[in-house]
Amino acid sequence: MNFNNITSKILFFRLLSKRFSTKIPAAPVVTLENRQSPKLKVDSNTIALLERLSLVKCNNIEGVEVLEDSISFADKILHINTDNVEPLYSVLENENLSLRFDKVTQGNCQTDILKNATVTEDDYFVAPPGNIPLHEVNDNECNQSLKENEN
Amino acid sequence: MNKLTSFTIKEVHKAYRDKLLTPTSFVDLCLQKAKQTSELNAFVNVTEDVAENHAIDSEKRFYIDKKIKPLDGVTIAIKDNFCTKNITTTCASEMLRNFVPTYDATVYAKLIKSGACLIGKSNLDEFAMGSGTVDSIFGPTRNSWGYNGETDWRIAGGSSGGSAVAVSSGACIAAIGSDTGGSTRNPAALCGVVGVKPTYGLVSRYGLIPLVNSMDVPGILARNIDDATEILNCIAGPDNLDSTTIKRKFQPIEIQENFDLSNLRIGIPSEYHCEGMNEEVIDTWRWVADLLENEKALLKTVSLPHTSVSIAVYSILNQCEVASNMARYDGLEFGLRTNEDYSTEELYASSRSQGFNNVVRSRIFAGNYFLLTRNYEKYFLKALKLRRLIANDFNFVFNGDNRVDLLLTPTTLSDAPLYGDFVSKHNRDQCALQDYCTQPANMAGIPAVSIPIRLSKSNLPLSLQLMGPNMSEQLLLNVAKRIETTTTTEILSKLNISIDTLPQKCQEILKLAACNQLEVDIDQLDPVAISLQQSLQISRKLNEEYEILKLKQKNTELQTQIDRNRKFLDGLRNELNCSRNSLASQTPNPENIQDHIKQMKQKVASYEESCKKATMKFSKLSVPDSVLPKALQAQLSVLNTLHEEAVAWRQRADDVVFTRDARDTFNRLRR
Repeated sequence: MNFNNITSKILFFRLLSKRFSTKIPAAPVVTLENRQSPKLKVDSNTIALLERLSLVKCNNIEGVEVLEDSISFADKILHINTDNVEPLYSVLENENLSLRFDKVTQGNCQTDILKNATVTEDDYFVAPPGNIPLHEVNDNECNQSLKENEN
Repeated sequence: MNKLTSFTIKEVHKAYRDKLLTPTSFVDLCLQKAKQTSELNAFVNVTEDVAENHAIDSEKRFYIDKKIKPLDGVTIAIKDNFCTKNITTTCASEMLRNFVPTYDATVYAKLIKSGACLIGKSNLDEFAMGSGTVDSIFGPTRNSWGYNGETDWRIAGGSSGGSAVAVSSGACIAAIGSDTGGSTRNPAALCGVVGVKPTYGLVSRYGLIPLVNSMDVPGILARNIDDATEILNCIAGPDNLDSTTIKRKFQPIEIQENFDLSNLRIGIPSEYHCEGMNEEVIDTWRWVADLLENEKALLKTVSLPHTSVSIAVYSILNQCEVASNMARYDGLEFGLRTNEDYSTEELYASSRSQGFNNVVRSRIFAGNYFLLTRNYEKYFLKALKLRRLIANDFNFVFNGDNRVDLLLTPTTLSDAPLYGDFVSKHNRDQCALQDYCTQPANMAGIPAVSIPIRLSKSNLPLSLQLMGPNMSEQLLLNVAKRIETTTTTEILSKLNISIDTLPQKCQEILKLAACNQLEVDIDQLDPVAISLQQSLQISRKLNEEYEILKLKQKNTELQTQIDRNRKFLDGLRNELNCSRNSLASQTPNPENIQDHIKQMKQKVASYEESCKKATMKFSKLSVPDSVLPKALQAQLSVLNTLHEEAVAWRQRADDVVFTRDARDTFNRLRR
């Protein structure tokens, strides 16, 4: 057997292996997501409740569709087992986060604070009459059901 | 030709020292660049006056005080969701269009304290909700790469797209973005610049208008790792105004030349090869992994099993925190306020409906849905638990038995998409694709850096991401720097080399060959020689053009300098005129000063005269007793008694004379 031939073969093999030894996965990895989640319908009571909570008028078909889409996107993860797992509220849970001393360090900034308000009177912010829930104007009859829904 | 797009902090400081540039001239150039590239829409607001003032301060420190700060004369852009005192901060939203903060974000304050010059506030998706910088009230930002005018352009990535384009187009050396799910690394990757997301809590969030408090971090965009590190060194560290900063002293990061990669363990998380990932991105990933292996780093495949669900968990948490964070915008204390006055809640609702775009509104909506009492546990707590599992994946990979030091992944699934293709998808789908590789780092709070590697077939930048455990910026940035230098030299070695860099001998041989070829007749020339001739001509032409361009550039620079000088001279002249005028209107007028002096002299003479008279009069005045000294008073009293005695004696003498006369007359009569 030709010695040269063998070494060249080994070299070739090494090159090949070099080319394919890479640690990058060759194909996409299977995901944990649940792909077939049924599309959920949000009823009009919930939409009205959300409008009141969000204080945003968004009552149109497109808005509802986007909401339903967001919910079904979130539904993909509900099947994953999280028994005995504590919720992670902050990534700094193991850090000592100091509190400051209870001392006044700022003040005399009344003009600063009022500067960005559109309407002020004397030294006050101004708001229209309070204690009137949203929607009272247009749908009084809906309020009863809303209150039942509000949990 | 145009060095503006390649200047680094080190180079610009050297140019200042050599007086090739001064901070004011450089800031002018950057401002000019920002205006020239206004079509890209990188800036919401170019802060010309502020930049010039900062530049003048820098110039003073550089040449007069000789106390040079680390970022003196370094031009920066700040994403428009960081508060800047007395400079409008809009978040690219109708809600804050006229909002003028009354305080500075810590990041901005620290940069200015280090000498940086603010060129402008950069564009973003409304309230940083997006991954393309396409949802801004000021219009989308356009990527400078592959830009072919109005109709054919790529997105900049987002949400800090304005900052990334500002850096890549040369309007500033570095920029600040914010990173909630990849908002700094994503545009950095698509625009071919470095994007750093520090550890959560390393850099203060004070003054950053919050999106998701538990994930937001200020991010850095720069042209290379050295600059990004320099900026990070200036802005990192504990801050009393942000309780979520890590309260340990920050050790400045040092970048070493030729950092040793041997025995460094780098993990390749297999889950990051997801469906929809571009083949070119995988190739780049493979190429760099092999390069690192050649540098003797240990590469191994690792698994982060919850990666694929991370994006859904992120979307739940994002929407929940958005719903809570956006509650502050009611139009009363600041922000947009409509004319609705039926009730407070009606005013809130109408202001918020007008002030927010549909992306923000739909996130608030969905967030409130997940937070409803009946859904709280099902969605919100579930997401928080999954967040722990995702963070635990990282913990295990970095601290477990088979641990690695860093992770190498792609930053985005492809190069920059065309605007038309991108906006055809809904915002959530855009983010789900764009943020796939970047948001896990935010979920776990770990640091990450996006490094531009090479160009795709369509000549757009491709980037990779390095992630490390908490507070591992020192290692992370050193390895990133190593990748940066290795890939650059690797790419350079494949390019044609200019003759000047060849050894002397080679140059001589080439010259000889070229001369010989020149002497040969045309019909004897082989195709190689012909192409040589052609390239010679082309190179001559190019050289000439280059010289012309250089001269033109110099000319414009000189022109700006001349203009500045003229302005300065005009100012001086004005001042001179002003002072002359004021002098003329004054009395005495300098022209008749002699007369004035004469008058004055006369006056003085008359004064002297009256003075003399006065002294004369004074001397004639009797002095009251009380003023006289005591000795004198005693003498005076003695004098008085003597006078009295003298009078008495005289009377007596008179008496004696009288009696003598009387006696004489009496005697005569008797006789």
